[in-house]
Parts: sequence; structure tokens; C-alpha cells
Amino acid sequence: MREIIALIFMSGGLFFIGFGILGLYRFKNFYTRILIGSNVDTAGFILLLAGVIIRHGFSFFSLKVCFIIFLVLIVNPLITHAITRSAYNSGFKIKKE
Amino acid sequence: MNNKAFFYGQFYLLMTLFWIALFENVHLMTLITGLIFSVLVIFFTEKYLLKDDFYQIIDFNAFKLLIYFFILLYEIYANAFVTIHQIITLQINPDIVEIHTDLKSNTQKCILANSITLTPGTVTIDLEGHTLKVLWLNAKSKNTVIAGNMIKGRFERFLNR
Repeated sequence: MREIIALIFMSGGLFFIGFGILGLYRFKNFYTRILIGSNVDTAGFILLLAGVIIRHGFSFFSLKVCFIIFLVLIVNPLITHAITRSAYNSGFKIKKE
Repeated sequence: MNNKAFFYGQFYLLMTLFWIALFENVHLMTLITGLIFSVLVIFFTEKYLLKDDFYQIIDFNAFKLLIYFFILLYEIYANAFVTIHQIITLQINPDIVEIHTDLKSNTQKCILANSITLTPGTVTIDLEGHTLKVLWLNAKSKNTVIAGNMIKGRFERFLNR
């Protein structure tokens, strides 16, 4: 039973990651691509690791995976912000699709 | 004083939890050494690396942060489905809007800006004083109040409490 719930969570994560990658190919502009990017690395990533935690049960391993989730939640917006801000400051224009 | 003791207590407990997770056992000896090292680490960080104490720089409450995490999860997944709908239909209007925030402390503003970046479809570009510059995938309005309410409404209502 626990395995099935874990597999449902993991396939939910793969669903978000798949649509994020589809978005990267459908949009052509830099800014729209970076906006789609957080669909992959927050929404998909959190569900994928939640599946790993449920599958492994309550142990030290799942506690470490929890720490990884919180670390990613802190570090991830900094990276996205740094890339977008440097593009904005160096004069990229927003184009309509 | 009581407030300060609570602040440092939750810092020490979180660091001890991390120490236990790395050692993978819960013997009494591990607990004691973890507590000693977390006190030492925070003491030396404040003495040699920071100009002020942690207590003056950040306001931090572990329980409020835990509730905030679930609000953040709700917003991430609500916006992720909206973004998937926009990927399929390709009806987008990317633009930069300026929104105003009433939050006072630097920690609250930092958490708000990072939460906006974390939700799919919005990225914070700049923060000056009380004005946030946000890149928005589907800019429905350029009005400061309406756009601000749509982007940060739920976050700011919780952080302002």
C-alpha cells in the first residue's frame, strides 16, 4: 500500500517535470523560459522527494531527505533571481511571443 | 529576555537535530556533544563573523515557519497547474510589474521575495525599500494594488501577523 502511494507521488513529480520541459521547447524567449523553469525544479522536485520519503518510511534517511528539501527551498530562488537580475541589468528586452 | 531564550533555544535544537541526523543514532552522548557543539558554533559565528547578534539580525520562529511552509506548498501547486494550462494554450503576456509591500523587517521582506520567486510564473527582479519589481508570466494588470494582491496576497497576510 505504501509503495503504491509513493509511486503516485513520484509520477506526479514526473508529470510536472515533463510539462516543464515541454514548456522549455514551446517558448522561444529567455524570460518566459526562466519563468517556466521553476515548474521543474520546485513543483516537480518536491513531489519526487516526497515520494522517496514515503517509500523509505520513517528513518534517518528520510530525515536527511527532508533537510535536502529545505536546503533546495532556500537556495533555489537565489539562483533564479541571480540569473534573471543579471539578464535584466544587461539590457535584455521582453518580447511578446 | 524570555523571548531571547526562546529564540536561541530553537536555534540550538535545530542544529542538534542536524547533528543527530548526520550521526544516525540517538545515544545520550550524541545528544550532549551535539548541544555543546551547536552552542559553540553559534557563539563563535557571532563573535568572529557577524557584526551584530543573530537576535538583532533575523526574527525567526520555527512554528510559524512550519505553518508558512504549507501555505507555500499550496501556492506552488495552485500556480503550477495554471502554468501548465498556459504552456498548453500558449496564451501569455510576459511583463514587469511593480508592487508595494507594507512589511517592515528585512527578514520578512526577504522571505516574501524568495517565496514569489519560488512560485512558478513569477520571479522577483529587484527590491528597493518597499517596492518589489516582479517579472510575471501572464500580466493581467499593471496596477500596483491589483497586481500586488494577486501575486503576494496570501503570503503577506500571513507574514504580517
